[in-house]
Amino acid sequence: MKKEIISLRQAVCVMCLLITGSSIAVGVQTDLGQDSWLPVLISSVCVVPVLFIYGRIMKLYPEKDIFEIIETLFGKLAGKIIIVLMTWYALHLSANVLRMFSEFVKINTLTETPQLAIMIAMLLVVLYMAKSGIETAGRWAVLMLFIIAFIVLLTIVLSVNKWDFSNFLPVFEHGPGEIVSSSYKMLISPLTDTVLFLGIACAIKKEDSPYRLFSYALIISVIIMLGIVVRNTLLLGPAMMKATYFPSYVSVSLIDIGDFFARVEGSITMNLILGGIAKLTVCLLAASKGCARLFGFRDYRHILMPVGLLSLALCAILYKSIMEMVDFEDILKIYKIPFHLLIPVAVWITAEFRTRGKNPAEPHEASS
Amino acid sequence: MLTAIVLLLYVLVVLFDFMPAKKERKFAENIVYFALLSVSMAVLILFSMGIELPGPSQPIRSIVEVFVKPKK
Amino acid sequence: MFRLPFRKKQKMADGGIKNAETKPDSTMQSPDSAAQSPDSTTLSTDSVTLSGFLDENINAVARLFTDVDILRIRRIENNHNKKQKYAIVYIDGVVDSAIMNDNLIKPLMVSTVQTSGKDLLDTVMNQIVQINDIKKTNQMEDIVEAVAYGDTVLFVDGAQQALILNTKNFQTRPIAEPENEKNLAGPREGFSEIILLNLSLIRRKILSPDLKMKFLSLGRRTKTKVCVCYIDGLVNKQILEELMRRLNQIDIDAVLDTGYINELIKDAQTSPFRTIGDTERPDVVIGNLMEGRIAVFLDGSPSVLTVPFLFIENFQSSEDYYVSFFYSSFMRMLRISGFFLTITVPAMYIAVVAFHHEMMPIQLFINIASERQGVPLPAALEAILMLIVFDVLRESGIRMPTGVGQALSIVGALVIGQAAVEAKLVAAPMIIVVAFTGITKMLLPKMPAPMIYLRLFLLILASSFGFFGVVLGLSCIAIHIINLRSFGIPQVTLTANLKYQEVKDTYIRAPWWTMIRRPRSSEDKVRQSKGEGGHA
Repeated sequence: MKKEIISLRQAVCVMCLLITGSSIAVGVQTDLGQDSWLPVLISSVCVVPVLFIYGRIMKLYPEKDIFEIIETLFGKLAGKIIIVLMTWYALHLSANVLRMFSEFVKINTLTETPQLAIMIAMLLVVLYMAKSGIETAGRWAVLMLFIIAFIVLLTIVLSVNKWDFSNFLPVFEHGPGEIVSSSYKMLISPLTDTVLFLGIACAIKKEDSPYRLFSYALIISVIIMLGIVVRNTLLLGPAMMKATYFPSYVSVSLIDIGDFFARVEGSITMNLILGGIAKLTVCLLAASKGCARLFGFRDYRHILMPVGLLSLALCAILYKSIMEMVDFEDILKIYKIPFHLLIPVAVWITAEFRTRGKNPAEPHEASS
Repeated sequence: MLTAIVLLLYVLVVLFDFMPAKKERKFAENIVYFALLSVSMAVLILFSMGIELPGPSQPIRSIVEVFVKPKK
Repeated sequence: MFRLPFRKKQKMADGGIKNAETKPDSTMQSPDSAAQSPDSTTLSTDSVTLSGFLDENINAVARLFTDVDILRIRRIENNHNKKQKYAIVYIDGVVDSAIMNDNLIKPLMVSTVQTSGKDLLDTVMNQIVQINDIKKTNQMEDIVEAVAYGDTVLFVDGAQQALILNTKNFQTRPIAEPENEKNLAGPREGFSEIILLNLSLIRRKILSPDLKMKFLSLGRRTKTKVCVCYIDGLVNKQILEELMRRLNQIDIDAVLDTGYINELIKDAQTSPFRTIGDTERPDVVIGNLMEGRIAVFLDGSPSVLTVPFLFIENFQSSEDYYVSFFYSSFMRMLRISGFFLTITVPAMYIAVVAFHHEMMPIQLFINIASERQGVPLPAALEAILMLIVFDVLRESGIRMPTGVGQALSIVGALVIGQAAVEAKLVAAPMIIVVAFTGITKMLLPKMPAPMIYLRLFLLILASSFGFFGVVLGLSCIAIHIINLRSFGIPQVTLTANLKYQEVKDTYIRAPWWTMIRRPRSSEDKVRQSKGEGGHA
């Protein structure tokens, strides 16, 4: 079994897609209406320490994924429990993301197709990519990030005739409490979804600095998300933004050039799929790596298919309707804390203590 | 109709994913493979037939509400 | 019904080109030696070696060639030394009679050189026979091969070995431009079926001693000659070793065309895309050799394989380098978009017409809807039928004798196009879509297989899932292409490093004064030293 390596550039692109995968089509947080650009900036500043923690974990144990690290640090029993939690989270997140995408497709474009069929179709493509390995995902990400960024730019430029700068007023209407709450929501998802990248961190070479990886990815994703938020605000205005489930989709549907080039929201579907595939691939890869470590498999590829189908099953029973999904977001933002913050911090602190007296790159004693 | 598609999907998965590398895996791995596969297959077939299944949302909601009082 | 590919799972040694384990060049052989696997089912030539007696040898040969009525055995005696007997064995029709008469029979008869004792064969070889290419052998296998190929075998009474003499004379078709690789400018040579002639076309253009040509022999019964050419110093040694390893693994009865070799050594057995290039033009082969690739020639086949193969080569044509770079850049981009269009146009049409009506301008949609009224079939089925009909037309146009070709175009255009539309069997926009698809397919004659299957795949996806399906299908295809490897090298490298150096020769053809580096897979990275090669 060959060891899979991706270059820094590919890893940066994968992480960008991980962060922006859902925002492209669905849209960024819209709680603050016209001030929605503010939480984007604030949360991107606040997430830096968290990303530093992730990067530090990667630096202390280079070329290992988080499941291996957990097993090393916490021993067999406690380690297995934590791995179960993280694997469950990866599965849950992939089911969530898949559900969101299929809701999007079902509501906007394919209204008469059974949702299960849409989910299966998307999952099959994701499984194909996951089966091809992390290297393929890396190369895909480089190409697709370019395309996605280009399309976002295109939608911004083409909608020029509908821009309305007054949509930004009144600025700073909301109080600090609301701003903090919205930034927190932005922080917990999608910015810290990057914890799943630790699940495939064994593909990063020792020489590449994980800090650079996280910082480049953060900068690029924030630029893209800022572009999306600004475009949505310019085109829709605060009321409309809050009213729809998918503000990006609605804003792109307003593009209309000379009566000819209109209703091109299909391109948003394209963006969604391209970004979503990368995000789902990372989630599924992390989940199957966790499962493989849990059951003692040598190679995660053997169990990839069942894990993928398991997440499909989970996705089917997750919510009864899209309204339940939106309702659940309140719970989701608390539910993610242990996985995004508590467990990584615990891992980090334990790792720091363990490697304090020793050489940080010392090979660990657990079996690989 | 949908159930048939789900069944077909599982047949294809076993055919194209399991068969080619059958000999390389240990017996224990095969057991786990099929265990996971049957769990997901059961859920999906029930779902495609229209039977309502309890989702994890409710349990998670209850667990979270223990720690944090529901706001709004 | 289906032609299955040759079933051979192709795995890289140790799963990676970097770890290729191969035997050292113990399998390099001269053209006349035996094939790889010892064979007990054909003529039992293995155990037969020559004795020192002429009659025994002749009888042995005659026994092997029973019922081969074109075999001739001619006994000769020397004028001056009547005791010295010779016999030549040859096949009538493949040898050059003039050479045989003047340079072989005559010297043997009239020579006054003393022939006796242990140096008998050497004397004959060095002083009597006036042929340029001679080999000694005592293996019956070699003798059989040589006789069949057009050489003459000389048996000398009293010698334990025989001499194989070069008297080949082949009839070959003239060197002409290959039919399906025509260029507007540049050389118009094409390969023929004789391997030595093909090799000469290459040899004369690269005058450096670094051009290496190694012979192998493939096929248990046909024992066809294969030549592997590369330029030492440019080629990537690991790929060369891997190629040799795979060629030596081929164990098949007959190798009649490079297509056989292609399928037996290629990486992705289940992909419709090519992983090994093939061409019939010498200038393409030379261009590839200069980039560090390896060429494989087969005796009897005018097409030559080049290894490794990059995906972008599907869209390149050698005349790109002979005409101005503005034009060729445009043509290259046109070809790439042609590939993309021919796959997606039917699918997009179906997706828009069946699912996403809002994407079309309203007037166009009304027109199309009115055309589609009264057509019984659903749009997807219509599209598939018309595409099949188009392919039937095309294929029968190729096979048909020229006289009937006229009738065919009338049948195609009038009956199927016009009448079908008027009979409301097919909608008019569909004909336009199908015609456009067919024409863009012609831009790329070298890859019909991917286009047919991928087009169908996307069409089916579009009819089930609309635009979403098309994008999913394109993603699948993109993942597949990204996964393709040719002898360990990923076929699509530019997604990894979108560097200036790589893009220069792929999407566009940049002018010669910017092409200073060779592709990454070759060893000698510098193609042109900077500062040379000016603009006029």
